[in-house]
Amino acid sequence: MDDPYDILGVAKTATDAEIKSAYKKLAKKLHPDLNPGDTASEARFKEVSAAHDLLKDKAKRARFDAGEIDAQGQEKPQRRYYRDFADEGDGGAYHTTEGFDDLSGVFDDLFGAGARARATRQGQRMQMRGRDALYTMRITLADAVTGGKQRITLPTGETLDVTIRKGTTDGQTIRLRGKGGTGYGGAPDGDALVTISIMPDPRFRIDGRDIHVDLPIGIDEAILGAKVEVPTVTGRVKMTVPAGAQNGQVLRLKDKGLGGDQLVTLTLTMPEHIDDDLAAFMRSWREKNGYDPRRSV
Amino acid sequence: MKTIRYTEEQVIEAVGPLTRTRLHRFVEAECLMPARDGGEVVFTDADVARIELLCELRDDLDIGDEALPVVMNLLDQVHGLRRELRRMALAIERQPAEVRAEVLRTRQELEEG
Repeated sequence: MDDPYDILGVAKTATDAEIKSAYKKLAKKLHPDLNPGDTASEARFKEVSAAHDLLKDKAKRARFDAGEIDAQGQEKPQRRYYRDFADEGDGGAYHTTEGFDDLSGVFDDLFGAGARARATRQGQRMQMRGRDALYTMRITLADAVTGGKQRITLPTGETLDVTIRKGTTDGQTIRLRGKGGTGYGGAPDGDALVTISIMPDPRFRIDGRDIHVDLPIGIDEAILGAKVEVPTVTGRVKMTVPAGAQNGQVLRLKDKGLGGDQLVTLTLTMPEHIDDDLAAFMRSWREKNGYDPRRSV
Repeated sequence: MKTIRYTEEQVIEAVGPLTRTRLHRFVEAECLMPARDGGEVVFTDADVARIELLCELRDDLDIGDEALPVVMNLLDQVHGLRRELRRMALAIERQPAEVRAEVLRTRQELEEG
């Protein structure tokens, strides 16, 4: 870092008040959130805040002046400014496309703001669509798979019925028209936006529209094949393990996922005790049928 | 991909200069619109970054309580405009070369009046 006095543009003899005011002046100009499209402002703002952090601290400033410390080591961890979220679309609740009505017909078509604008002009009266209200709702994995109605209670004590569609995924947003803030001057009410968050179930792993589950099987089941019970989100179902099944083999249960399938990974599990019979049998089996499972490695 | 959500207590803990009174004032002024999970207010990472910005605007940039919603409203409009402008630019980018050239030419004409 360069000399912090130079960065803030103050004299070495500057008072605390002068330093603070120089910083504020620069921050007003350079704060990245006030310059959403200017990537260079972030680096300069970082430099300015680091200089300010050093000089506003009496002890640090004295040590710097005495040459005991240099201006290094003031780096703060990487910070995410609000503009980063707004640009990614996470600021969706805040950024507004209202107020483009005057721009052109193209924008009217794009944003559907045309109707609103026309209504306002005809009415010659202030109209404002109600604000959208945001809610989150936690549902179980089973609810997400089967769908159904869920009820949320609003802070006002009112309740709202939300229809969960079959195969709803985590983070999906459901829009309830007209269930948000009240519109002003005859304009429509805002919408309620309900973001679905699926509660994790340690037995299942979600991958897009599929659900994964690990299923332990015994060596006898792997060798001879078996009919076994598999947990699914909606209860246990029977599944056939083919004879000669491999460890890690994946079997598919159709339509048991979030609009996709349930994928069952077989994990071969040894018996807890190897008795003399089994050991003796394996010894004689090896003599006749020995194979090298590591040919390929 | 899962969004982390924070409670009011966690947000106050995480952001140094934030107090409960201040947080409620931001919400009342509609500078901040956290989601609700049942009766409980929850905050996302984007909300937290926004709260940090709000605190800096108040403390470092001397923007008062009255002016704060005005600043945020304008800033939100900038972000809305930037997003639509980006989409429009992307839409033009995906056109054939001659259409792109025509758009740029028309734009130039408009600038020159």
